[in-house]
Amino acid sequence: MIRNHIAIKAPLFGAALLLATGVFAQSRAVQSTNFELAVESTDSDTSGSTSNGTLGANLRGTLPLGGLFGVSLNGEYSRSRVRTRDVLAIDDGSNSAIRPSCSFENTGGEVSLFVRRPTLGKIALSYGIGQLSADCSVNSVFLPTGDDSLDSDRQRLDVDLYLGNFTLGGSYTELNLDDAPKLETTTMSASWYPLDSLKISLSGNDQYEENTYGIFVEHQPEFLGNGFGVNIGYAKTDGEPNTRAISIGLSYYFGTSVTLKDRDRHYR
Amino acid sequence: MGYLLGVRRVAGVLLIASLSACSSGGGEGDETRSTHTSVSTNAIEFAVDAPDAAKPPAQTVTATFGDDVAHLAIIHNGAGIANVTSEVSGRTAAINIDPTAPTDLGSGIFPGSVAITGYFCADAACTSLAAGNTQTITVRYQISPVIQTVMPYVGTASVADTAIIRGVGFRSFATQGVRVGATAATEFSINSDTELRVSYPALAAGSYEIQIDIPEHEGDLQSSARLVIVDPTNYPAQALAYPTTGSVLEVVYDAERSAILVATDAGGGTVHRYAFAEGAWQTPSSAVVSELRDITLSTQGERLLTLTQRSLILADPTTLAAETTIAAEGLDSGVTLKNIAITNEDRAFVTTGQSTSGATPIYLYSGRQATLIETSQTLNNATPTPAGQGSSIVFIQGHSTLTSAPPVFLFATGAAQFQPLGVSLNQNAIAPVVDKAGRRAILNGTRVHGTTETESFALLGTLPATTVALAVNKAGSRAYTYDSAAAGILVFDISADRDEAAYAALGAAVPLAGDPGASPKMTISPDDKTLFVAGSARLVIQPAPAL
Repeated sequence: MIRNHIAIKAPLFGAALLLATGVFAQSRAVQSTNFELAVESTDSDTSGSTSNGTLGANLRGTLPLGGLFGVSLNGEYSRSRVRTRDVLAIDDGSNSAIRPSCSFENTGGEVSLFVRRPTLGKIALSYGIGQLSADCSVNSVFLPTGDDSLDSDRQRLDVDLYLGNFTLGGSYTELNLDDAPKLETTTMSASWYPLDSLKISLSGNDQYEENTYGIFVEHQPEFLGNGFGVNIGYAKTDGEPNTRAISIGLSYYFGTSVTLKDRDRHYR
Repeated sequence: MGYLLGVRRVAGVLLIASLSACSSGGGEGDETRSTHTSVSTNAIEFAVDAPDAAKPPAQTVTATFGDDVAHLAIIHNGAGIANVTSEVSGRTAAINIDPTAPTDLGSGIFPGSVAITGYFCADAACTSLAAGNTQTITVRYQISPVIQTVMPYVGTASVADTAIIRGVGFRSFATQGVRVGATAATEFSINSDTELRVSYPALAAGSYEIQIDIPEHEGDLQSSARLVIVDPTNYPAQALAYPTTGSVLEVVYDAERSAILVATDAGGGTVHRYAFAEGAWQTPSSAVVSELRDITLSTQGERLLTLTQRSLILADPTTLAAETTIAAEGLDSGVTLKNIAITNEDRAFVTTGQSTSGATPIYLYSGRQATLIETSQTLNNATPTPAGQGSSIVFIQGHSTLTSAPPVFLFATGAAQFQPLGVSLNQNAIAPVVDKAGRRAILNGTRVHGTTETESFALLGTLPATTVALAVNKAGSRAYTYDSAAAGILVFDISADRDEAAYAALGAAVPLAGDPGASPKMTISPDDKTLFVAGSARLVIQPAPAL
């Protein structure tokens, strides 16, 4: 296990070193202050278990800090509804009388400080907090707290390398859930821009020592004036029961009419 | 530019290497996953032996969670589960599953399930939760039907017969058969959730527990229904003296124990018991019961219900010793308990009366709960008689001062309500007589009514006005009267409809073995072979004329 973590983290630090060596003599990290509002719907399905439908929104503002640095502020809200009937099937005619329901609510925020050279890549350090609460008509509890809400905070290191029409990325996140053990996750990703308005990303992470693979497609239609973006994603976790998630999202960019590739490397 | 290409190659190699390094999990078993939830058992059962039984205690299942399970949700379904609670301690939770009270469900099998799902963070920032595995606990809750009574509970050896079985929950399971001891009933029908009608074959003398075959049901049913088969009576004609004389209130033949019980007003109230043993009637035993009014055997014959003016005494039918006394609460001054008649539900209706004409309440005795409760029904000095194997009771009422006849009432256990019949009649000293099958009812000792559905309690014919006591056989085809003018027993075929004309006696009067004295009461053995006539002077045992 320790050997695996070293193997995962090594490329992140290597990439950071590479980026740092070329950071001088490049242009601004954030071209101008910009804002982005996104809504997303995710359907998460666990084989043989309950499934979730999540609807969320987040608002992000990104500001330049001098020529080399930028800061990003993010606020988010999402609500998940658990489809409990998937696991209860009793043919005694009483189902109509008992319809258990359960939902989770998440609110959170994050601040990121990053350094970026638009032709090389980006390194970001982030700190975020969040709160999950459960609203169930049945018996439910968060194990770390023993009640119906759970606070969390996290630190994250992101490194992106811009390689022409490709972006290689890696991140390392430490998550603290009240009194629960710290959760560490390393994520690697590779993105390709076949068009300046289209990005296809492949990713993998090791959360819970499981392999999660995902594909993510983001498009910014030119006929909408580069003011809107749509995305769709799919992720699957190995193991039994396996978990699959399908997401679809819509973003609105306030005042910045640029291509998706430019947005990723000059604004976000 | 050259160095940039080098950077890209290195970065690409690093990415591929790191993605490959992600394959650290997935090879381990489910039980060791940090997001896995396990439970101590996946199936529990609750079982109670009656719908009115106490609620079974809650059962606890222990759930154990992996280190990364952040949230626990427990959902349940099925009417048999009232509530599910959890007590979390570290990485385990005690899941308490509380069943619904049987009284809220009735009998049957009530499946249910409890699903326990552990949720974990769906992403690195834990902005949402994803479900881990769900552990489902199946719950089987069996609330058994209860077989309470069979009536008549006494049958005759080597004679096939029919009976009514009462209980609770007969329609909640698929019944495949009825057993009398180890012998299968020849025929049965489920009339309602509380009533079975059964035909059983000829059996040897003995005691047989009634059971119902329900393949779906686990274990035996609770049955207090016991069919007692006795040898046919073969008593010689005989007159027996009383230890103390008095007016006879009631005579009861205890076929199970071959004993005659006579209630008299001697000494303020006395019950005499004559047992037949070793080929002869033994010296009677007696019990003084103050303010005695009436007696009858309970539905299953295990108690002698002794009615006094203000209470019901449950007594041992052999020793006559009082066991429980239940007072009739709420009796008005001047009103007393009067007569008692049992139903096949292990209940009995108790009428009340007073010295004048007027409506007084009916009381209901419940053998299962041992209660005597005043009902909302009132009648005028009514006299009840059970009919149709205890499925109904005929109430005749009235007072000598009445100038207009009051209606005759029927209480049917199926409808569970009092209904006036299309007959109005002021009662006399002779209590109504109804056969076992409920085909014929004789009111005031002379009026034979057809009680089948088509006959609608119409008057079919009459018996002599000189009748002072009577009984009918269980088929309702013969009436045996003790006729004061004929000074003996007359037999009448009452199976035919005489259009309200007088029935003709079959043959001559059969003299009794002795003069019973004034105001006699008569009953007949379940095998129709022996008549028991108790008057103020003596008890007469008389073989029923074979006509």
